[in-house]
Amino acid sequence: MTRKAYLTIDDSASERTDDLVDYLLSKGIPAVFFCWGENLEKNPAAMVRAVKKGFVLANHTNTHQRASEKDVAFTIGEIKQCEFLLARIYKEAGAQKSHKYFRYPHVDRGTGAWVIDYDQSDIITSGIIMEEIAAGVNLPDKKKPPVTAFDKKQKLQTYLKEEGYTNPFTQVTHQWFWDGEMGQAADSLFTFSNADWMLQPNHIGKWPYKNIEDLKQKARTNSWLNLENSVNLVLAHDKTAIVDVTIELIGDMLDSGIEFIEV
Amino acid sequence: MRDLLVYVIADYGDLHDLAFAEVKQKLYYELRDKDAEITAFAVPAFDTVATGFVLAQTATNSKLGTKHKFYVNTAPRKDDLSPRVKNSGEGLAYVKLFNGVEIVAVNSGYSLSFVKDAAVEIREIHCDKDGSQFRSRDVFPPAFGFIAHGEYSKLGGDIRDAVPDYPKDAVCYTDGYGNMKCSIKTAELEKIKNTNVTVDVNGHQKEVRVADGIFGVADGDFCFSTGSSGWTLPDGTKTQFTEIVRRGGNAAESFGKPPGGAPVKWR
Repeated sequence: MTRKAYLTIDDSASERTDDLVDYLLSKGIPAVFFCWGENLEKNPAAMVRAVKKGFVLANHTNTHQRASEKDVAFTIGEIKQCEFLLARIYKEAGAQKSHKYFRYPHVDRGTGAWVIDYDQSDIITSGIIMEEIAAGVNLPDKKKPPVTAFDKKQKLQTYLKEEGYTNPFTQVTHQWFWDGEMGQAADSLFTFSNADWMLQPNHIGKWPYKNIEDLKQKARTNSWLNLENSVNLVLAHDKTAIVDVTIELIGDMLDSGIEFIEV
Repeated sequence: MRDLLVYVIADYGDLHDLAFAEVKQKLYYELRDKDAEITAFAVPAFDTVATGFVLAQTATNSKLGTKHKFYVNTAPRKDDLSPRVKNSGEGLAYVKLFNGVEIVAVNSGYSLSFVKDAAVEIREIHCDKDGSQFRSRDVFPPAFGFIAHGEYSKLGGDIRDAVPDYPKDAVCYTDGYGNMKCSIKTAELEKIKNTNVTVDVNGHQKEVRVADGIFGVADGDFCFSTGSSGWTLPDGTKTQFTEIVRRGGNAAESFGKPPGGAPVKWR
């Protein structure tokens, strides 16, 4: 009986990316880093080093803007800018980059908190996604957006597919991930957020999980993450102020028996 | 020949100013995967006319095409509290000239006026309008980096209409000898050639000989003639600037060192 997970880390690079990379290396944990272009430019050496160590870098736009609040052309521009900067990092690392993976900032796919079209999915799937994913979008308005937002999302999906972006997390086992639009999407979503960001100085105390023990319990009690013979897709963050939190949470998942796997 | 020649034209002070060093190192950082040479030119503070002139003279006459880029930043006049020309001075602009030269410039005052007719594209660059007191160092170089690598996704709409025409019958630029390069049409000088006129600039009046060149006047005298600056557009349109010089002396000092844009009158 095993529980496995892909580890994805958003928002790199930070001032402490090296520490995070060293920890993952020490534990033999593979990971995909979804990088902001602007952050890549602030600490390119750390990401060059991560590539050299075998980690995968992926696209998280250039300046981390919400797709629901920007037009399609702007978001496509942001994706292109980040892709250019990623290509340069790989070049500086002397490595070939043959993949294209992308995650939206705030998981805002153009439709705000309406991450998937809940009206088109079964009630269980909708409930899981609303609870686990939509909360992290961090928008007060949870209502269904107008038709134009869905049109935007579709245009962005079309762009991503035409440009060769794929979802590499093919071994995820949860049926709701594949039955809903998440598994079919050209962008990368997740099945579990460790919610480490809730302990950032500007967020701490404002969210349901107020300390690291709360977050450990979140992982320890999540029914999908703890399902035997499951493969999950975990979201964590690379933020200077909370790298120690992130490391501790990953360590606790290891201790709980989760095995991290490669894409 | 290197991959890229970048001219920085800015009003940061003299070329030894820290600002030039900081901006150049940021630009080199953005171009770290290219064999680039970055050369800086200082223009007087807030002088967007001089900036525009220097830019146009070097950019429109460049034969380096796509290997030649410009990074331009002259602040709009902060001592002028009246509305700026066509609301200029707010955004970063991209200009592509007929010869392939590309320009990233703050669209302040007349900075882009002299290249307007030579431009095949003048577009807004999507860039933060705040977040740093020193946008020229912290915000604009990454945008320049994208464009220098052929990544144009930061470009927005056409803003040609936001670029004013350059001032006519005005001092545009003063060179190191004190020669004042002016936007007076050569045809105007032809009408009064070989006569003496009284030229009024910056509150100073001087008797000036309209001649073919500096050696057409005696040592110490002023000469008003067709100058060495200008350019020709692909359709054959020629732009030629005139100069007020003082043989053996410094014309600009004699006229109280007029800033770019100072009107030139003669009678």
